[in-house]
Amino acid sequence: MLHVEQTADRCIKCNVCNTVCPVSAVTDLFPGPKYEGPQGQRFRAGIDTGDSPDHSLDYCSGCGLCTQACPEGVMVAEINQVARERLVTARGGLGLRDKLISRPSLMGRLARPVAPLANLMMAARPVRVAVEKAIGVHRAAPMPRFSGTTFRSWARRHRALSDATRTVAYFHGCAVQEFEPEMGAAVVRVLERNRVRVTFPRQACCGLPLVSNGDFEAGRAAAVRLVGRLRAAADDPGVIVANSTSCGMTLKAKYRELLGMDDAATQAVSKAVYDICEYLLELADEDALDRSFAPLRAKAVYHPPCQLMAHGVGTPALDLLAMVPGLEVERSRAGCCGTAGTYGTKVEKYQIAMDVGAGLFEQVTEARPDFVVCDSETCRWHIAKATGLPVYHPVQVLDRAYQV
Amino acid sequence: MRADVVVVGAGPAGLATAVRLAEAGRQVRVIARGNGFTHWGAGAVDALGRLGGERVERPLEAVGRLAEDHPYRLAGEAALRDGLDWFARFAATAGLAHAGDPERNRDQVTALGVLRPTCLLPEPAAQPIPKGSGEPRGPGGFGGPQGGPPMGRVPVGRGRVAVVNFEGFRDFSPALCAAGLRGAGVDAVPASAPLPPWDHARYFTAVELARAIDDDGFRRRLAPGLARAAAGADVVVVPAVLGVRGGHAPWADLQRLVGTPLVEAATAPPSIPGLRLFAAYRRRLDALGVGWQFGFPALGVERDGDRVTAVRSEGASREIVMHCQELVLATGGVAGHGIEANRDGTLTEVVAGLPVEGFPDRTAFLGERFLGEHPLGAAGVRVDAELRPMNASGSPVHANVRCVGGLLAGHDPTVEGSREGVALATATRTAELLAPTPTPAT
Repeated sequence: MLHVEQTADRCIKCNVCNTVCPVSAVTDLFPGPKYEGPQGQRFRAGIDTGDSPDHSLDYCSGCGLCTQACPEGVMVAEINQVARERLVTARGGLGLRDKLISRPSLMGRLARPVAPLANLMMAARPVRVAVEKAIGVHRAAPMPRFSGTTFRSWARRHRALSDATRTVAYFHGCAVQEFEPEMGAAVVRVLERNRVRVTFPRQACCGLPLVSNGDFEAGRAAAVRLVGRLRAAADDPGVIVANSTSCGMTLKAKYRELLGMDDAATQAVSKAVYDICEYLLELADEDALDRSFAPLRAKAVYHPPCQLMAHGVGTPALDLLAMVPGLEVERSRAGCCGTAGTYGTKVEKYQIAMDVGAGLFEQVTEARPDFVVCDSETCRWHIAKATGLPVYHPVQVLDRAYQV
Repeated sequence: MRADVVVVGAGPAGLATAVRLAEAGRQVRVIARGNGFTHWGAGAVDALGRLGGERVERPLEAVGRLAEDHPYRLAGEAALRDGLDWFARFAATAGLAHAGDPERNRDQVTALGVLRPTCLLPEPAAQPIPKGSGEPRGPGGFGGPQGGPPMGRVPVGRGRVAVVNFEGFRDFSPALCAAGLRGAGVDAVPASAPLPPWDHARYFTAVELARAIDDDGFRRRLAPGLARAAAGADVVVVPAVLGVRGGHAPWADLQRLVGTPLVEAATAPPSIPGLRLFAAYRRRLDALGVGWQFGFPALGVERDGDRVTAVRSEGASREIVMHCQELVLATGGVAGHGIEANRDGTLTEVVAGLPVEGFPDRTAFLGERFLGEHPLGAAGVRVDAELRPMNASGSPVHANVRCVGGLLAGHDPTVEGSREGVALATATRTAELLAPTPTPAT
């Protein structure tokens, strides 16, 4: 397999990547994936100064649409990610803001004992203005609500299914653990409804925010720790489901592509990971999915996150949602909602994230749905803030249709 | 994963096949290694532009003179007609009306000032370029024998053509284009129009410029400079960048503001007319509920006897197996990566390992002239009348695999100018074969 940076040699300069880049479409601070990726790579290869010829690559959001559009197999976004790491290293590492926002589990742990207060404070405009001025998190960027209880405390009290026909391990990630335990409960309910027993292996942050912000060293430490913890689950039960599309993508591919982790343990864990909707659709294909969904008379816009499309499994949520009677689903035409993980929370990038998402927000306004559906948590927070509508994970919709 | 029909490839053939099959009621999935030829092409629909080294004026008539293994002969003339007709309706419904018909080829002006023969032209490229007699221009200009018909209320003179670039756009040289046109007997002069201040002045390609021109306000600021650059001309040739998200509406509006017919010339990739068309196809696929995945090539198939039961494609960490009743390969020829050329001169069809006739050694791949004809360009999979791949003895390799578009043997889409026509004819034939009793699309 070619190293990420070597794929630059396949570039034929056709500019297809530039036609799908959502960032260069709204700002000239980023000149586009072709310039930064394969073209810039010529000037990086062999240079041992550690610096990059062009610092504008920091404006790449890492959505990965360029890599998916490239007909020649250039890993454009990944080339940029690797180059960003060198840029960050040359700057002496991440700044305070990026250090903080790339450690969601640390933030959650710190805030949990005072969750109501923390939430109150993060909702207060003067506090947000101060935070923006102090560290550069945009005052209007959506912040998840800290949860007073964790998902794992819920899981500990949860009684496992007794008459299961299969078993999966659940990688809930930081968002479910710290911010959205009810999301994790929905995943467990939907799996158990289908006679799938769920185990909760010890876990930790996958390291994606660190990797995407450019701290590969800390990212690799997180990756090695998590692979160690999930290694046993990769053998038994052999399937690890994840509802966060970005964490799932990281586990599946980015340890290998970006961090160069190609050891047997990493490979075993990567191959065992399934996106939750991918797994549920496999059940459906085997006629093992309970399709007795109650009708939901509602209209939804479904936005497949850019990072779901990096799984290579298409849009399984669309097939699942189509099984719910009465539910009308319109597919988003946008390739990316703009926020791309932590990107859209940064003071210098918030407006770019809003401009990137403008097409999606317009589509939502025109479609007048009852709610929006999206697989990724940071996208859900961004879309909810921008549209004012509730935004659910597809599994939450299925859970609802089972409950009604 | 499971689908009724899996279409591999998202170029002109894959997209048309997927839409036609879904319109006929089949459940379809599209997987593609990336974007396809829409983004690279000239943005017109070629049916048959050249045959035996000569320009073809009447493509339908010329189909009868093609070899028997040509995709048109296999799919049938009716499939070509129906395919072009379907496309014209589809495109018009999507706000991308095309002009032309398969009885007679038209001229498409390119960035090199070549008038290339093509069959259907998107409206912004369809205004005929007047060819003068080469005599000096009299007062008020003069009409060439092919002066264009009046378009709406835009006053159309006959004869003088201004070739105008937008300042700073590097993929179009008005001097080069005008020189080419003069060589073709057109009274063309180069000119340049200033761009109003905008956000992308530092770096831009056709796509950034086209997005800017989507904006009403930008067009209003652009029009006066363009009108000045075009002063005295009867037709204005500009690079094909007149809007990308709004279909042909930005072109029509700018033409109205300038007051002279605007003709988009085909430029280097990315092809803006191709992007418009691709967006229309994707909207249609979404509306028909056709799932798609880009960026992950198909790697192989699973078989049961003479049937393919599943396609294997690359996934983030493991191969994705998509079970299917029918498989359509629209992966293109060597340039589209449907066929790989090996160092020993042999060729490999990349998805199902279908038989492809190779060459004794790799020096035989190429002709002598870089821009000439290359034997490798005509390499492809041989199929029967139902577009099923055949083995050396002429019987189908698989009962449920169809090949469409550039993957097919028996034609060189680049040399003969037949890419989109072959795509549409074989897409149409495939839809007839796989959905014999179409249910009307709702």
